[in-house]
Amino acid sequence: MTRRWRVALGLAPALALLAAVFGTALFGSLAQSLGHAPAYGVEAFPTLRYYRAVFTDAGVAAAAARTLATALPATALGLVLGTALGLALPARRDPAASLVQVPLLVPYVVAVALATVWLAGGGVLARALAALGLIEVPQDLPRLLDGAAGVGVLITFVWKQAPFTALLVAAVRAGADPRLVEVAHVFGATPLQRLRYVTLPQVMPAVLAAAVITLAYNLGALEVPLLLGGGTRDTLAVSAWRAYADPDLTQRPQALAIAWSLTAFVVLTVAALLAAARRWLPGVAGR
Amino acid sequence: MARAWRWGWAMVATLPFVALVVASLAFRWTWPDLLPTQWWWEARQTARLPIGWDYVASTASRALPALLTSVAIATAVTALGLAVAWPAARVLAHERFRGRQAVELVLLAPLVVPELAVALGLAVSAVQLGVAGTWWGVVAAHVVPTLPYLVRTLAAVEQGFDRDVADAARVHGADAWAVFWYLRLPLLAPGVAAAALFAFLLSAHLVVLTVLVGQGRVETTAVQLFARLGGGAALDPVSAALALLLTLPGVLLLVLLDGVLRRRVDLRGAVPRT
Repeated sequence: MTRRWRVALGLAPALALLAAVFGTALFGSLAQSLGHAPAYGVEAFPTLRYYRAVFTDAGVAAAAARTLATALPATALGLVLGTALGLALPARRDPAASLVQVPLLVPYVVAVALATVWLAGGGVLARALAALGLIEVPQDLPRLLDGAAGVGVLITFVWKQAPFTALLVAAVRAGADPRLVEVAHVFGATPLQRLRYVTLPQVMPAVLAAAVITLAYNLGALEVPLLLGGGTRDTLAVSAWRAYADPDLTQRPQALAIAWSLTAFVVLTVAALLAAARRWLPGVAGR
Repeated sequence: MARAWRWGWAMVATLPFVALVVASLAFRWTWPDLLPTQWWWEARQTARLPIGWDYVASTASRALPALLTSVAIATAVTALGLAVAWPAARVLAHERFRGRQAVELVLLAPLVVPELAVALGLAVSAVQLGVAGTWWGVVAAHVVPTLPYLVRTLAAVEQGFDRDVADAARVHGADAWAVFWYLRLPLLAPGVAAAALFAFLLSAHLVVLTVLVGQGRVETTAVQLFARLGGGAALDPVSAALALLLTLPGVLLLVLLDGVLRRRVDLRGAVPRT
């Protein structure tokens, strides 16, 4: 078997399967968002009316703003805390390092259930504060879940994602040359300088990889803002979901136009993040 | 200080589950009691309807069939994913060829396309193709987010395999079968097993794709929990029980990784989508 055939035969099944399923999803939904949906009594292909609605509708613009307002702080906080945690994980076997991984291994719906049992009005947190005499009735605690601040969504994302960033950072740090820090030490660098000029640059590729993955997820996430937002965190994903669930089936092409706009939004934001990294962190993003 | 910080995180990561256990066992848990005043097993004689774990175990909840559905679908997704991703990962790890970047881009593209966008697109096509609401439709849909992780992790695993060792074996007369059985399999097994376990977990955790392609007819544990949550109310015992049920596979995986597969496993494939 020649090398060329070995390459082709090895790649063919994965590419074919992905093209069949992923390609079907992309092209089917693209056609629908352009008005081809005879099953729902919409036969206007090709029309840009649904995309025009996306870009002119004030509700969608507000949803896009909410998407950023939900995703960016959660991603940033998760990255900062996760990097700090990753630098505190030892390379050797450690029970704390194992326990830290638990949030990675449960689905987001379980994280939502945990957020509900702890943070809901009258939840465990409120009861604990009441036992300490800090509050009298559940209403004394600010609304953490369905309040407009979206604290519950933020906490859930950070709880789930900081350990992920930490593991990536710890893995890269374990593979980095430890002599660099020692050299810096010998030359009189303070601990803060060693962190700033040696350790952080070493783990930056891991932080960037974690940033791309968590930001892409948080921008497109449905479960957490839908279940914990109480209707106040209607991001683009939640808007698309609601439009699809609308009893009026002619709304479905609208749902797909929002979903496609969301996909473009995610791709552009990730591309912007990578471009910024290439500009400000030379030598990191080229990999 | 680093020690306190990581143990603090270890507590933040695990202690919240204690409240979930208590909530799943509660029958009467009124404000402002920190613990329930009446537990599930104290009320099971008097309650008219099955409650808490009684409900989860009863046929009415369909919780056990849903768990079996989750396991069956995740097993099929893992098998199908391994069958197509492993050969591709092997090529990506060892061969140089033209169009490599394009292939990598295509194989990783599902990472940046939101699950909801894929699910909405597939929901419609699945109806046209007649696989909506079937196990096979859901299995095919789950392959989309699973494949990038499998390809990435398996490529890392394959990169760790020193091909010179295989060449040396061939020089000494080993045939293709012997190279596979005595070299590739024992050397790669831990990494491949870890990749497979993550693919299984990822599939078992998928909600949006399962709901939209399964059309409510394919009910997994994750879908059951999703359907019960939301609304801002306190967590009911049944949801707490389902959440604990859904936590089990991940905890088992952690124990497996920490014990049997320790040190050979690359966690970089475990992305917080699960």
